[in-house]
Amino acid sequence: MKPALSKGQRVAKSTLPLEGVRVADFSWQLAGPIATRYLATFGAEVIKIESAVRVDTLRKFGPFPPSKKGLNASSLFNTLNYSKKSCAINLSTREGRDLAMEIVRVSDVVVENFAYGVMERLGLGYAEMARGRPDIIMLSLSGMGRTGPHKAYVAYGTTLHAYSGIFSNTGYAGGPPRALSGTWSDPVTGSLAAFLVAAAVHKRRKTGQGQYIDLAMSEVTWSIMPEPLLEYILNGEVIERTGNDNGLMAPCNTYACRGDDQWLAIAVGNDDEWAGLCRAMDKPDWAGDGRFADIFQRWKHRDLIDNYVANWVRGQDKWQLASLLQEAGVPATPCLNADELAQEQHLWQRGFFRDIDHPEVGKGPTLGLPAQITATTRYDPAPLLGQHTDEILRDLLGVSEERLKALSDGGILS
Amino acid sequence: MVSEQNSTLDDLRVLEIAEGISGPFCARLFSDLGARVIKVERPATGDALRRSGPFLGGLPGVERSALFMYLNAGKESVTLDISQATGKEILRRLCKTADLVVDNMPHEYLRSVGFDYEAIREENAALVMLSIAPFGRRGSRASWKSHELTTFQMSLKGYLTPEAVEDPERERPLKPAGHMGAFLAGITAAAMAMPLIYQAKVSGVGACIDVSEQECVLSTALVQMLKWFYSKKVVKRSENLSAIGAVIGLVACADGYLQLTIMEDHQWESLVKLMGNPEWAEGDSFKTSTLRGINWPIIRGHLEDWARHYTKEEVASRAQQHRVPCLPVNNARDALRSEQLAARGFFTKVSHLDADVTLPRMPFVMSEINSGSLRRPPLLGEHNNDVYCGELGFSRRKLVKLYEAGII
Repeated sequence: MKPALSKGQRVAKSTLPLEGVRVADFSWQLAGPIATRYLATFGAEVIKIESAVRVDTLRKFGPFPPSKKGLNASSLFNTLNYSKKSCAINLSTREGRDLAMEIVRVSDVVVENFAYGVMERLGLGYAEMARGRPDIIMLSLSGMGRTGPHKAYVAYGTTLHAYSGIFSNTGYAGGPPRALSGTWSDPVTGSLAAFLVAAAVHKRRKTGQGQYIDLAMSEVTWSIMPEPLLEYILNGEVIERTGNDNGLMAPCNTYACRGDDQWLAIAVGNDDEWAGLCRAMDKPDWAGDGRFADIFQRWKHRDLIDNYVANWVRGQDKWQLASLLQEAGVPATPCLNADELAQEQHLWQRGFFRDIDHPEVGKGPTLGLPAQITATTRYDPAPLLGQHTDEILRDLLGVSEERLKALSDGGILS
Repeated sequence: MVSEQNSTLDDLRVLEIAEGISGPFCARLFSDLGARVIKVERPATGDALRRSGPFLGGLPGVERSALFMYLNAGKESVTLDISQATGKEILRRLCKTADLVVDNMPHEYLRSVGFDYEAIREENAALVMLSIAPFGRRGSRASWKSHELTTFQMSLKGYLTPEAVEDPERERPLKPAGHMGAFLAGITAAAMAMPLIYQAKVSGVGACIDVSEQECVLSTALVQMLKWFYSKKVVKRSENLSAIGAVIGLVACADGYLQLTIMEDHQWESLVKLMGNPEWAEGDSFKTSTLRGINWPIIRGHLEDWARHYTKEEVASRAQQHRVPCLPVNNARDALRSEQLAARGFFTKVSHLDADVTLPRMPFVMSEINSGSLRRPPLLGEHNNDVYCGELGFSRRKLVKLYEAGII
C-alpha cells in the first residue's frame, strides 16, 4: 500500500497546489461534491466512492445533452465532479465496506454528506476511521449539524433557505416571504468546507494531527445573513421586507425596460454616482435640488426618485442604458437570463465558462472556478461511474488479481 | 474572557486591505482558525462598515457597529493612508511578512497607489494575493462599477428571484436583503486561497487570485445555466418549480409559512398520513409525482386549509417525525429561539466597550477547538504601536510624526 501524505512530508516541485493529498469522497448530490471539486481542481486526488446500487441522484437528474442519456451524461453531475476519480463500491456489503476502509487508511481526508447516522451504520463513522487512521481529517456536511435535538431532520436546500432566514428576508414591501431561486446553502457550505479541509491539511502537515469538522448548512446560511439577526439582537426588531430597498441608497431597484421581462438594475451609493445619473438622464437642475442633495435626502425621497427613474428607463433598451450609465460612472447592470449570460465574452475570456471534452458526451461547456488564478489548476472530465475502480484497487490498495475477480464476481464493485 | 484559540492556521499572517463585507469576511475565517490578521484601515474614518448599524446600545459610533464587530472579531487594526508615498512604503514592508493579502478595493484606486501583484511579488515571492471585485480584475467588464444589487442582477440569480411569480411584469427581479453575494464571495475566496497558501509554504512561490463576485453568485444558479447550455431552455421567474414532478412550495399556516420540498413518493405518503388521510388526497390527480407537480396549486389550497389550524413549528416538527422534508420560514426571532442553534452554541457573547453582545459564531465546529466566546474586534488603529514600533521598529517619535502627517 502506498502511504498517504504524512507529517513533515514535502512534495517536491509540486505543480498542482494540493498534489499528494488524497480524499476519500463518500459525498453525493450537491454540497459535498462542490467541496471536493475545489480540492480536485487544485490537484488533490479525489476518489469518489459511489455505486450503481445507490447512485448519486445527480447522475440521473440531468440536464442531459441532446440525445444523450444514462448515468454518465448528466451535465449537472459532470459539472460538479470534474477532475475526480470514480471507484464503484457497493457499501451495502461487508466486503464493500472493508474496501472503503482500506481506501480511507491511505487517504488524508474523508468527506461525507449522508443523512444522520448512515456513516455510523456502515461502520464508517469518525471513531472507526480514526482507529484505522488516527490523523484522518473528516468532514461531515448536513442540514442541521451532527449534534442537537434536530440533528436527524431531513432537509433539502430549499427547506433550509426557508429555515435559515433567506425567504423571510426576500419579498416585496408588505407582501409574504418569497423564494430565492435555485441553490444557495449547498454551494455556500461546499465552498466553506473546501476552505476548512485545506486549512486542516495545512495543520496536519505542521503537527501530524487530524480532526473532525461538523458543518451545518443551516448555520452557514444564517452566518452570511447576519443583518437581520443583529437587528433583532440589538434592537429587538424583526426587519420587514422592503423589495430591493436597502435602507440607504436611492435609486436602488430593478426597472422595466423595453421588451418582455427586460430589466435594468441601478444602485446609487454616493454623490458622484448621483451626479453621473443626473448627467445621463439629462437633469442638470437636480444638482441644485435640496431633495436630492445628499444620500440621506435621496433615500428620504426614494419613492419620488424611483418614479422618475422608472419613467426614464421604460421603453428604452437595457444594454444601451447600462453602457450609458456605466460611462457616466453609475453602477447599472442589465438583468441577465441564462441565454444572455452565455453570450458574455467576459465570462469566457476569464475561463469561468469553459469547455471540457468528456469521453461519453463529447465537448461541452461547464462552469469553472469563479476566479482567475496564476497557479496551476486542472479541469479533467468527470469520471464515468466506476471508471477508476480497477486502477485504485490494483495500484493504490495492491489488491491481487484473484481478489479483484472475486470482488467483481460478487457484485461488490458495481 | 479566556477561550482556547483554534491553532489550525496559527502560523499564518494575513494582511487585509479591504472594507465592507467580502474581503473582511474572508479574513475573518482565517482569523477564527488562528491566523494573525492585520486589518489596514484609512486613518480617522476606518472601514466604511464602521458606520453600518445596528449599533451597541443604539448609539452610533465608529467603535459601535455590530456588523463591523461580526466581520472583524479577533483581528488587529492599523491605520494607514496608502495613497501617500510614506504610506505606500509602509504597506510594502507589511507585505514582506504576510502569507496572504486580501483586498477588495476598487481596481483603479489600488493601481493609482501602485499596489499590484507584480510590484508586491518583488518584495515577497511566496505571497498569495487575493483580490475580490464585482466582475474580477481582468476582462472586458472589469471596469464596470457595481453594488450588491447590480452584481446580483447580472448573475442570473436576480433574473430568477423571486421564484414562481404570477405576473413577471409586476413582480420585478429581487435580491434578498443583506449582502449575501459579498459574503459568498468572501467564503469562496478563502476556499481558493487556502490551497495556494499550502503550496506556497513549501514551494516559496505565491500566486494571484482574481475573484469575481458575479461568477460566485452565478455558480449558485448552475442548474439553470446548464439548462440553457444543454437544452437551450431559458428558465424564468414565472416557472412552476413543481413542474419537474415534485411538491415544492410555500404553504401558509396559523402563524407564518412553511416550505415543503417533497421529491419522493414515500414522503408524499407520509404527509398524507400526517394529515389523517384526507379524502381529497386519494384523488387521481395526486397519484404520481408528475401529477402532483402539475396540480401543486390545488394541493397547496388543501394543505393550507389543514395547516391553518397549526403553527409553523407544530407542522414542521410533526412532519419531521414522519420524515417529511418540511421546515418553517424562520425570521431572526425564530433563530434566537431555536433549540437546535442554542444546543450547538451558535450564538455566543462577546464583551466590547461597555456591553456584552450576542453574536453568531463562525458556522463550523472543529474537534480541535471549543466554539467558546468570540474575541472582540479591534478599535480603529489599536495596534499601530504593536505593529509599527514593535515589529517594524519605528521609534515613538516617528509614530507621532506619522500620525501628525495623517499617514497613520
